[in-house]
Amino acid sequence: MAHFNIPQKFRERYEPLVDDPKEFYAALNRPLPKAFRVNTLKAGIAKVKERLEGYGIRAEPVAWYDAAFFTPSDKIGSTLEHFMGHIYIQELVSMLPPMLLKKEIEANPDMTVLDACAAPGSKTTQISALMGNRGLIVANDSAFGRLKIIKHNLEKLGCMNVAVVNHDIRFFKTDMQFDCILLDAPCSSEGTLRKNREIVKRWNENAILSLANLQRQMITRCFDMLKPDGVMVYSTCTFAPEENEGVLDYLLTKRSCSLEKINIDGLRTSETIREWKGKTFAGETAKASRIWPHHNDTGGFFLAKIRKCEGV
Amino acid sequence: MKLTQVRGKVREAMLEYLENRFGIEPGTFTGFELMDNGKGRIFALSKATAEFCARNNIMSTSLPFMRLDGAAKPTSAMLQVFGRHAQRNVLAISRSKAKEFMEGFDLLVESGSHSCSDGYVIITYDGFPLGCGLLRGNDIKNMLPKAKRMSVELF
Repeated sequence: MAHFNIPQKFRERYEPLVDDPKEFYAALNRPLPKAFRVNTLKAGIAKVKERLEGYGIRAEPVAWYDAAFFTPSDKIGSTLEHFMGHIYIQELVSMLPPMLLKKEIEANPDMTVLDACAAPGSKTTQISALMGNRGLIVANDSAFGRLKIIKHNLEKLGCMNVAVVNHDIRFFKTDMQFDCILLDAPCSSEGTLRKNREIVKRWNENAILSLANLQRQMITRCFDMLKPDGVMVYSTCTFAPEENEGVLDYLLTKRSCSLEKINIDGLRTSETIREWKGKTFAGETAKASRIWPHHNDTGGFFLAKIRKCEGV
Repeated sequence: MKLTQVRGKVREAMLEYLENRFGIEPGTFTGFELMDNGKGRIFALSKATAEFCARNNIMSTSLPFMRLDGAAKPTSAMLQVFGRHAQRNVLAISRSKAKEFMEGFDLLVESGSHSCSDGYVIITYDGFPLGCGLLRGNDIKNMLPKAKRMSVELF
């Protein structure tokens, strides 16, 4: 069987949740297609595509994002465009959370955004590009050692609207309130199995429970830094309901908020898990979305768009 | 660190340097604040980012704009963004030299092959501003930061 190296417990956990376990395992065993996005702060999409094709590099469009491309080439990292910061190599699903803020950014490009877990800065630089270097992004990461890579990427991509800070977001003291917050939370990373096989080796259910606890603390603190009517995107790259629907369910019981249905043209999203280990999740959590690896040939992902109720 | 805003005459002097040396119009930088980290490093930031960096302790920010510890020097990061507005002291190099430059090597240029004067120059290839070099006679010292240097195969 193709999925010989996937732990039994992992299979028991997720087989009942996926529509087609065979396709699911097959996707997990395939290497992840390479993707990149054009950095519109420094370059035009059409010109970059034309130049790359001039080198013989195929750049296939992605239905839901005009700046993103699939490429079968392993030479994309040694192009002039990469040196110049005209492209950024980034997994496709990792480009999704910033897309959920696109509408808000277009309505107010001078807004303030908090990227709570920013390293290595892929989503930060993408938001910066969507904002056209206007407004302010506070890019936080608790890992001191990973701040350097954020700085490197900001400089390379020509970002001018990002300040990097170093806090444990749960204890981040500030009077500021943000228009938008991205919480791309640390998670058990099951969805990244296709690029990192090591995940299988250290996979265990206890880690999921302790990460869910951390995520509950993070989402509550982030929510409190949101302006009334502000929007928070919560995302993870894991399948575990405890870290996804469970975290949203917790926030919905603790704070006054609602979820917005996610609809990205050209992307196949799936319904959330309604019930898990005897617990039924709040109805509102059904507006979040799951991305299964075999549906769009990507990594696995979870996305939620949360709005803080006015007057809170 | 906290940053302090570069205002009035000091800001004007910086923009004047860029205009005199490279012919970049000061109007190019309208909309961005220049901020000083107190160690001779100047950053170009959006207004809201500049305000935040003046009030809060930050670990880093972008875009590094100029260095003022010693002679004024534009950063490679800044030249990659604004270099296309330059009208002089732009040194276009050949394909083989561009490869060497991106890998971090210093270059030798033939005298009379360009119209640049000694000092900081913008190194370009095929219209792309690759970064900053220091021209002294026939030598170009490579000013690309080490983290930016890489082997480029397709260009």
